[in-house]
Amino acid sequence: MEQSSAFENASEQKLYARIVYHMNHVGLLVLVIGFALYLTGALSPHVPLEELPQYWSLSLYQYLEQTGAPTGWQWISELGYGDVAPLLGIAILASVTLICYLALFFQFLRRGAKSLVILTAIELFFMFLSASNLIQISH
Amino acid sequence: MKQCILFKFGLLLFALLIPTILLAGTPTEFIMPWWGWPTILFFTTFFIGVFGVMAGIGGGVLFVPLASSFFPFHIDFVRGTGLFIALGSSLAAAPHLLEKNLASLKLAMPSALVASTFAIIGAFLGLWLSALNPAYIQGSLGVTIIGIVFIMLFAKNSEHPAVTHGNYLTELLQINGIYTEETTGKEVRWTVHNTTKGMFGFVIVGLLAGIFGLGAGWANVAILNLVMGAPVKVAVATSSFALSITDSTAAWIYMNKGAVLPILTVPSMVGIMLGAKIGSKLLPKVKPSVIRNMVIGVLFFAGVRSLMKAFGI
Repeated sequence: MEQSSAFENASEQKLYARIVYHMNHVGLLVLVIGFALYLTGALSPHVPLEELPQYWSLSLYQYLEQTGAPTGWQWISELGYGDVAPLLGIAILASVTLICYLALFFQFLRRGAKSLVILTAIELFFMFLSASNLIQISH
Repeated sequence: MKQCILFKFGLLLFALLIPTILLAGTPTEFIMPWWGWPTILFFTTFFIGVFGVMAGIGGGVLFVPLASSFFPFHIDFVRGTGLFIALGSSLAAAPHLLEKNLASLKLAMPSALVASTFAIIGAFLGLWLSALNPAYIQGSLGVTIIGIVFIMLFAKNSEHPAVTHGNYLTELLQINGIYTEETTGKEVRWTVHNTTKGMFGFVIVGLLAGIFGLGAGWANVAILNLVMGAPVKVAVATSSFALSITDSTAAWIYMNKGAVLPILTVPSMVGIMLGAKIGSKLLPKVKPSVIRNMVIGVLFFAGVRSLMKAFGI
């Protein structure tokens, strides 16, 4: 059995928890505001709300073809559309873990925890890769 | 009294499913205004949140088969929403679980790295299969859900598994921790073993999360507790927290491909979060095993319906 002193939680847990807590609240707030702008018609959407039932049962590729909805990072330039505005909140929520891992990476680097630095760096690589939209598949 | 509460909950759950079952497969766009299905979706996810917490399972595993089988939405959008439901629930729970040292960062990091990497492959595989024929995804989802039902019925957790020593990977990554058991006030020290075997399990978890948009908490707990020997409280909390890491890579893939429809995703996320809050307050008043069996029943029903839909029945 290991020495009792070997049993300890990562000191970075509290920092991670704080970042998640604050970013989650910001993401939810932005999400609700974006969705309210969409539903109230303050921002006009690509697809009018009344016509949505004609499209939501289509496959993804048919939907994109018929509506011209944005893919990749195009949504950033189309935030003025009602059905794109809520994506900002969704993107913030999807980025929470990435921001936390960036903070972890520098913390582990500072205290010289080599194995954890490597682990964090690999995870960050895959997170950036998936967020970047660089991987494409043909269909 | 408790039986009466359970009966009412059961009745509500099935009452909730009746309109969706009756309207499944009908040209509902002509008989319901645009806000009809999103509103039913909101209430459905609210109840999924309530019952998911009480049954001790994540929302995604209930949401994807129910929404893809009983709602008119295409399975591509349902899977995208499923990932964000799991992500949102996990992010909401993470701060408390990490602060209390129930969830372990050191345990979550290696397992989530394996799962999140394979979730990317799963996401592409799922979108590719769906583009070939959505019935492939619908059918394999049905089989997977029925498999999950059997795992949930027969896998028994072990409260404090005996772990005599860790292995090389455990030592290298210092996968261990301490938490305070609130019922006794005692400090519990833990470590894990079979780390390599556990990592192979997370390959499957990641693939399933990416292909079907499922949260996979049902599998995480079994691997962390039964294979790797983490105490059940640590396994449950770490699984809840790790979903936010596992699902974030696949969630980005679905979002970049345009498979996230705000009209589905936002009501579902809000519904499940509100439901989970109510569920956690009701938890001390109900018998979790009864709720769990009821939810397993609904899951089995949704799995069978998913299979039937794949065969055009």
